[in-house]
Formats: sequence, structure tokens, C-alpha cells
Amino acid sequence: MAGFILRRLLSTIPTLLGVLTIVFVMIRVAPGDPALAILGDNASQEALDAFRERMGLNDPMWVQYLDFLRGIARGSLGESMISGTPVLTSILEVLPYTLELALGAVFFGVVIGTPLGIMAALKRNGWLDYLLRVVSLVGLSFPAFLTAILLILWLAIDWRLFPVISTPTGGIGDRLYNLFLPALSLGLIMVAYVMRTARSAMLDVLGEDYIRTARAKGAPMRRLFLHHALRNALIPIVTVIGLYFGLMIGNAVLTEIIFNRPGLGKLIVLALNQRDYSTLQGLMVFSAFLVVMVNLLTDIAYGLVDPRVKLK
Amino acid sequence: MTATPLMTVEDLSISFRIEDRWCRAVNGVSFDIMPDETLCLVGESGCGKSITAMSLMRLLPGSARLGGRIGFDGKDILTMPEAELQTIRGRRIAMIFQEPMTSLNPVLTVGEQIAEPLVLHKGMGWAEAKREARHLLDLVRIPDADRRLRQYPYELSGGMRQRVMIAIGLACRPEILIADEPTTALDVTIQAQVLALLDEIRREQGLSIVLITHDLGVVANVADRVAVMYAGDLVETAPAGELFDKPSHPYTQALLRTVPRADAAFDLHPIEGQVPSIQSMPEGCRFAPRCGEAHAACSSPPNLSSGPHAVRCWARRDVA
Repeated sequence: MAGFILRRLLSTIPTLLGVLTIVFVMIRVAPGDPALAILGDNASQEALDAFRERMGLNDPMWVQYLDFLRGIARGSLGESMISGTPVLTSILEVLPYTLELALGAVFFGVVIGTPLGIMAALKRNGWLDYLLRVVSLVGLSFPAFLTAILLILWLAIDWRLFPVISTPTGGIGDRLYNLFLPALSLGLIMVAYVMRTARSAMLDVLGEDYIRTARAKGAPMRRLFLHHALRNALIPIVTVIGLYFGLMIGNAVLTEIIFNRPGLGKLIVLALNQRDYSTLQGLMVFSAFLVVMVNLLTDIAYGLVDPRVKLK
Repeated sequence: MTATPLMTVEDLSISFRIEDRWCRAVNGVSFDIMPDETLCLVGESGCGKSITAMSLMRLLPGSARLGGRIGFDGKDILTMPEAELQTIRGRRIAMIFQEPMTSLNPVLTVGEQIAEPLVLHKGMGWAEAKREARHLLDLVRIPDADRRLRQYPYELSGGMRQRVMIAIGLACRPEILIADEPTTALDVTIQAQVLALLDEIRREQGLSIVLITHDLGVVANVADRVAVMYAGDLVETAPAGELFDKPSHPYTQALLRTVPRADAAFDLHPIEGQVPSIQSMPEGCRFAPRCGEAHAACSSPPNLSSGPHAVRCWARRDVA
């Protein structure tokens, strides 16, 4: 297991290097001069030159690139051009809130999506199946921010069940209460994805020869579905959860802003507004790292679900 | 024959809906399964032998329409409630399939899959059932049973997997074992081993085997009785020796001629033409379009004659 994780970690190096290069180039080719953006139109030429010199913007591109890589190798994402605080510190400060939100959304996605998908598969072409398919299609085509606003209008303003502004503080109960609505609104798309995957995976598996074998053994329906079919259907479901978890971090940005929650989302928007290039760069690198880690966890989950994937 | 049959198939018909029309894949087939015998169902691909076998345990998909009666222990399998059927499947009638590579569940251990019928039907706990599974692996001649039980199907070869399927089938000591082309997907040498094993176990345990095959060499080796199917019809049934010595139906004769023989060098005799499609069956005798002896009477369907050697052919009214 440890060897497997180590090998997978090593194999992420080329991916990360590629991502780092792309991030570096994107920031450099983006229009706008960071010195001008930060110091303002009225800044003197001396001030601008001094700023560029201090930030290493006058160095040749390849020197900047090597400095950038060197910093990352040391575990540093640089410092904010505005406040001077290390970018990693700002990220780690708000990361728990975003992770909490993303995990909450995945929880809803799995806990609601999987059983609905299985039910749809079992009642294939029945009214429940049609209803769920239509609902999931609507769910997929609804942008996350719209769902969030509708949920706030309905559950927080009309029914007063949940707070409009989600403040992640206090005891565990308070935190979960505050998390509920943002996680649900972020998780609804996940519900739709997981449900569709669970349905089609289940239908695929139910047509397999080994299901016929299980029937020939005299296995009752319940055991057929929950034991023989579901474990096989879990493999594609795990894939979708892993894939979507990465997307979730991106979608969390909007959800965080709508619910006014602290998190990576607010950090990104702040950095964009302030033209804080070094923070943006650090955030992109960090997100890429996060997605790679989620993929690694997904691979480990495969090993737990499917014996043909060896972790050794 | 004085023994009472274990199972009586009477006028079994199976239809599927194809393009808004019901098409008969099996057309009023009748046969008995006697205790302690190997009955071979023989025919070309697409003649309906596999779906006939599946219907004996009512394993066909819900979209199939079944008619007739399958008598087992005084009851009709075709009209039995699903719950009652589940107590028969795997316990009194078991089945092994053509594709050993895909018929085992890839995410469950071999041990669990063999133990399952024992837990389902014999009220055993998992630990006890696994111990019994060990004996079953011995029975199907799989060495190193303890290690094999912990393995997953992907770690086993095709021949090994088919042995595991046989072990699953035999777990509850069924009265009837249905084997649907159990050796088709295997190497020739492994085929012989698996067939010899089935035959040996049948003798030891005194069960009946229904063997579905298109391989007449296999039939000659193991069959007590043979039923030949063509295009959904049962065209001839006879004790094995008699069928090989005195094949009566023109189709059976042609089928026997297709077997390559060492003394006849490369002189192969294929049957000309193809099995008619399920959507356009001939009106009369279904073999008539390919039959060298077809005459005017063949435009209406012949009946199966009675007796131990029965034939469905207008030109053979005199046999048996």
C-alpha cells in the first residue's frame, strides 16, 4: 500500500510540472502590468521601477521561471504582492472551510445520488425512473449559483430554516447547521451526476453473466442487487465522485460568495480584484495539487472496491 | 423404462417480441429427464437449445413468453411463484454456463461464491460454508484449496473457473445439473478433463445432467440419451447408442456426417444452407428447405412420433 502510494506520488511529478509551467505562462501573458495595477496610474516611474526590481519582474523569463520552481520545491508559493503575507499561509487559513464545503457536497451527492440511481435502475422505464431522469437532467442544467440563490430564497428567507449567511464558527452542531445549505446547493449537481452514473452502472452490471449465475444459485432479489450488483457498480461511481470532487473546488468559489463564507473562493476573488498575481499563481498551483491528490485518493479507493486493482 | 422422470417438459414454447411481433424460438418441445442419466440437447447454434435449458430454471429475461408446462416434483416451474423458485434454484436444480470467464463475480472471492448457495439454502453460517467449499474444491480436483478459496476469479484460468462453477453447482447436491456448453470456451485438453469430471461426479453422486452442446464428439462420450433440436423443434430423441447407430431424421443424419473422421481424410460434409431466421420460419417442416428428402407432405408440419426413439419427419413414419 505504501509503495503504491509512493509510486503514484512520483508519477504525479510530470503532471504537476506541466501544470506549473502552464500557470507560469498564463500569468505572464495575461494582459496588464502588475506594477501599474498595484501602484496605480499616478505612481512615479521610480516607484514602478523599484517595484519591478523588488518582485523580480525585470529578470529574464527563464530566471523568473527557475525562481518560481525553486520556491515551490521549497514548499513556498511566494508572497502576496499586496500584503506581503506568504500565499501558503493565507491558503491554509481558509482551506478547512472550502474542504468542509466540498466534502459536505460530496456527502449529499453520494447519500442522495446513489440510492436514487439504484432505484431508477431497478424500476427501469417505470414512472420513478422517468421522473428521476427528468429531475437529474434539470439538476445538471441548473447552474450552481442559481440553485444556491433559490435555496436561500426558499429555505432561508421564506421558511427561515437556515441562515442566509453561512458563518462557519462555533461548535460542531453550529458548524454543520451553517454548512447544510451551501453544501446542499453545491451538492445538488453532484446528486444528479452520481445518480445518472449509478443508474447506468447498475443497468450494465445487471446484464452481466455473473448476475445470471447468482440468480441460478437462488439468490433473492435483495441480495442480487445489493451484494452482487452494487459492489461492481461502485467502480464507475467512485470514478465520478473523484472527478467531480476536483470540479467541486472550482464550483465552491461561487457558492462561497453567495453564502458569504470564507474559503478559497473568496481568496481567489479578492486576489483577482487586487491584481495580486503572486497570490493567484499560488492559488492555481495549490488547486492543481489538490486535484492531483484527489485523483490519488480515487485510485486508492479503486483498490478497495475492485480486487483486480492491486495496491501492491 | 419404469423409473418416474425427475422433470417432465411438456409442449414447451418460448417466444420473444421482435419488432412488435411475437416470434417463437422454441416450438412445443417435450422431453423427460430421468434420474441418474445424462441427457444431451444437441443442435446448431440458434436452434433454441440454450434458451430451452435456461427455461428449465426460468432464468430467461422477463421479456420472454413461455408456454407449456415444466413438471418438477408435482409442480409447474413455469407458474411457480418467484419465491418458491428461489428455493429450487441452486438447491435442487443447478446450472453451469458457457462462459467461465464472465460467469463468476469479479469482486467476490472464490470461497464466498462457492459458499453462497450453502448459506442461502442449507442454513449454514459463512464459516461452516467455507469449510464445506474446501471439500467442494477437492471434489472438482482443484489443488491447494485453501489458497484458491481466498483468490478472486481473475487469478484463475478458464478451466479452473469452470471447475469453480461446477463446485458452485454441486454445492447443495442438486438432483439436476444443467450444463450449457460448459466446455465450448475451453481448450480441447481442458474440455476433456472437465467432461470427464462431470461424468465422474454424476456417477458418484447419482444426479442427472442435462448437457447442452453442439459437439457430437462430446455427446458420444457421455450421453445416455440424446435430444436433437432444429430451429426450435425437437426433431429426434433416442438412447445415445441407437442415435449414433441408426440416426433416423435427415437432420440428425446430416449432423452426424459433419463430424470429421480420421479415416475419411479431409472429406467434410457441411449441411448446406442456414438455420431459418426466427422471424421467417418455414410453414411446414422447418428442415424441409435444407432436406434432400423433402416431398409434398413436408409443407405441413410433421408430429413427433412416440416411443423411446421418436422422430419428427414425414418420411420416417415407420421407425420406433
